[in-house]
Amino acid sequence: MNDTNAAFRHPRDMAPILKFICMLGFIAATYLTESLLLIGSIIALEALVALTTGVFRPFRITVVALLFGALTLCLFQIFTIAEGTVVFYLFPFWKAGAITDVGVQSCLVLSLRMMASVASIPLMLSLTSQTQVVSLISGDFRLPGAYSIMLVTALRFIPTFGDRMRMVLQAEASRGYNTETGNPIRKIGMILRLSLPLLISCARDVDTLALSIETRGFDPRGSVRPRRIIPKAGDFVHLTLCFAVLTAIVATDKLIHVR
Amino acid sequence: MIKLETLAFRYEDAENLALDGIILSAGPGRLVCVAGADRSGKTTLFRLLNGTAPRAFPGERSGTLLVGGLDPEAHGHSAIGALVTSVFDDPDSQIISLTVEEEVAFALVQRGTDFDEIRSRVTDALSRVGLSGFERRATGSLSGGQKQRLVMASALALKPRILLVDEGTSALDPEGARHFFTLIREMTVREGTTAIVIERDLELTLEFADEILVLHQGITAAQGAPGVITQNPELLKGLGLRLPAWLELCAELKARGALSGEIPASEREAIDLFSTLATVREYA
Amino acid sequence: MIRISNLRASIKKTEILRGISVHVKAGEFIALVGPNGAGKTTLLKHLNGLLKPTVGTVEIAGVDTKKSRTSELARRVGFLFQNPDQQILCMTVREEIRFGLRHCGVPKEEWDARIEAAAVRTGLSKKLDADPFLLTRSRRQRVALASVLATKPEILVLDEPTSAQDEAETRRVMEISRDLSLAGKTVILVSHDMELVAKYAHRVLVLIDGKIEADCAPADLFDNDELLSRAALSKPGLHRIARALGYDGRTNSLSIASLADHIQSRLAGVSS
Repeated sequence: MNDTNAAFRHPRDMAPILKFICMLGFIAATYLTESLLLIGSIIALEALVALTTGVFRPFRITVVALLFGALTLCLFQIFTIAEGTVVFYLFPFWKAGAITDVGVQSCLVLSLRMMASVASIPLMLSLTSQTQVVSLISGDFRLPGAYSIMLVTALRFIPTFGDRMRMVLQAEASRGYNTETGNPIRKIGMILRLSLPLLISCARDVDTLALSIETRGFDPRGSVRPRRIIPKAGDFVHLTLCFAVLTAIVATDKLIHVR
Repeated sequence: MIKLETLAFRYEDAENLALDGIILSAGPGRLVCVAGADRSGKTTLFRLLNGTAPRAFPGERSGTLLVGGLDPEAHGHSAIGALVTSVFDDPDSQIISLTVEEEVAFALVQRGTDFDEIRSRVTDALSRVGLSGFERRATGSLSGGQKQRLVMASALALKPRILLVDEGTSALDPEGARHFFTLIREMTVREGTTAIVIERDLELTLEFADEILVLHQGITAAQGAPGVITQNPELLKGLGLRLPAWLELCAELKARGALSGEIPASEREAIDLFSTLATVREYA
Repeated sequence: MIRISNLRASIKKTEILRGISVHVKAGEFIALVGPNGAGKTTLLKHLNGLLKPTVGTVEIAGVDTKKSRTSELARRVGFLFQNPDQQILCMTVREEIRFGLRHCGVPKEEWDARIEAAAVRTGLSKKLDADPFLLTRSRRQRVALASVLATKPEILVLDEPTSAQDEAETRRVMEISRDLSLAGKTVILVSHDMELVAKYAHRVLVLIDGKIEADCAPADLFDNDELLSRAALSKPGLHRIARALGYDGRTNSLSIASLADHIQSRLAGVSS
């Protein structure tokens, strides 16, 4: 478990406030960079961080999910930009749906920026334990404890919705309800119907959870706060390294565009 | 530590009292078990003791209720929370953290405890409940029994002055349930914790409790040390409790007039008594 | 009724069941016991096709579960989960019981009678129009049981049905299960409660680390201290007392009354 006195081993043990600053650095760098290649290199850097810290699998899942979002954004962008030279028409016979080079460039930059900036957030969260999140929000940011509890509860329960839905599906299949269907409309209807026991069981749990955390000392109006996790010397080395790389990327981009 | 005098409670919009005339006094190091069938008022008592009723379960309370010298209704939940640790019956709805060690550390973090102290308490608590080595395990991957032990570890780490447990053994196997009670007993002895434990298993209750309170439809049906409670096994049976085999046997022998005098308070005493009454060599 | 041949099952590359072969006849009341993590729930889920074997076969009344859907097997196998909230989804108890009847293909003209019968059997006659979500946990468990009983399954599977129940509810569930067994239905019970196993089960399967370590009468299990210890089980109280008093005969007909008879018959003096 991470704490103020653990020997520095790798970025997972960095104080959460510095991890947060690194995340802001990644986001800022993506928006200061115009070049596709260099934005791509920021994503690659994030992937490298994920790989070396053992969270590559969830990072990969995030990136794939963001790819679909990026594609949607791309499609929207590509049809709304008319400047530049037309590369091709979607409907060549009617000369409609013009796709220009500026449109393509713009949509790719936007999509990659979205992916790079958004991916840094779950990356940071996967490298930050719950204790560190609570310490960051309540200790460093001095925000009311309710915010940290909301985030912590979301992180804890959202992954379990899938498991709970599976349990409900199993229970209903055991009563003869045919849950194995290829028909997507039927599948949606089935899931909506079965959401009721799922929601009710979640609501019951939330009630008990709220009482449980209150009886364990959580007091949003109280004066006692979780302690801050103080950065160590080694944390600053990593922070400097991170910013050095990001600055190099942004500087390279500026140089390319000046030329 | 805990003082109840003619405590009564009626839930809002309820016709009948959920609890009526409860009297209990438990000092440091006492283990009191509360037994009773469904709807006997056990959970209401639990809620009153940890201050969640009437705050989260509106209703009207009368009589005296002092927990660590404080009236839960008059003081905020954090004042009571500093003294009292509650273990609810469903571990799934209490576990808030993603990993085992963070779950145990959660309350300590909220209370601003130093991280070194947190680390040491977490390690100690996990080892006492038999979950050493599980620190980084995802809480979602634990079995029901492991989750219940985790919840107990969270309570142990707090070193509470008062521990309230609402059916904490329901997901445990018999060995686990016995270990659970052994831990509670350890807390009462080592740390002087006052423990109020709601428990269905009369066998464990009779074995571990200093005092037993049997509730029936909100009122006290029987109260006292195990040796006092066991004197009326027919009453206990009539209240819907399952008697341990040795107590049923004593009740049977007493009903037949084969046993006079006091009924034993434990299985060991009962076996000793049966041995002196008869030597069973052959059973056909 | 149930034939399991060399069943092996893995979940996420971990082998949970390691070569199980069991034959269960109609009308048997089987207790499946073992330590936590032994694979009991995994084995149960193979009985109604929720899980399919990696190797081997599971046949329910001659039907291979690999070739059937769970929803089809539900007509034969009634499954009562440990947590009733997993399955309750209707707004009244009546609809809840009707849900199973509809999806198991029971003819519509039989529904009312079956709902009534199941409600009477589970003590829910006055609660048919109640919202199941507002009932207490033990009543919700009864609703789940009524829903299963109404479909008249050949096999009833109970996964720790009494873990959070008081004595009255426990007795209700067990008596219903016994009645079904006496009527020729097969009952499979998973429980840690050896008192219930001693009282109701005809046969015990002891599952340890994914293997059946013993398939015997309950009395034989209780006489085997080593096996009890490995299975993290405790001897029922009556058997402990009988053992402590030096009983050296068969324990399969042991009861409070019979042990009391015997102690009484040997009395030398009555004062304690």
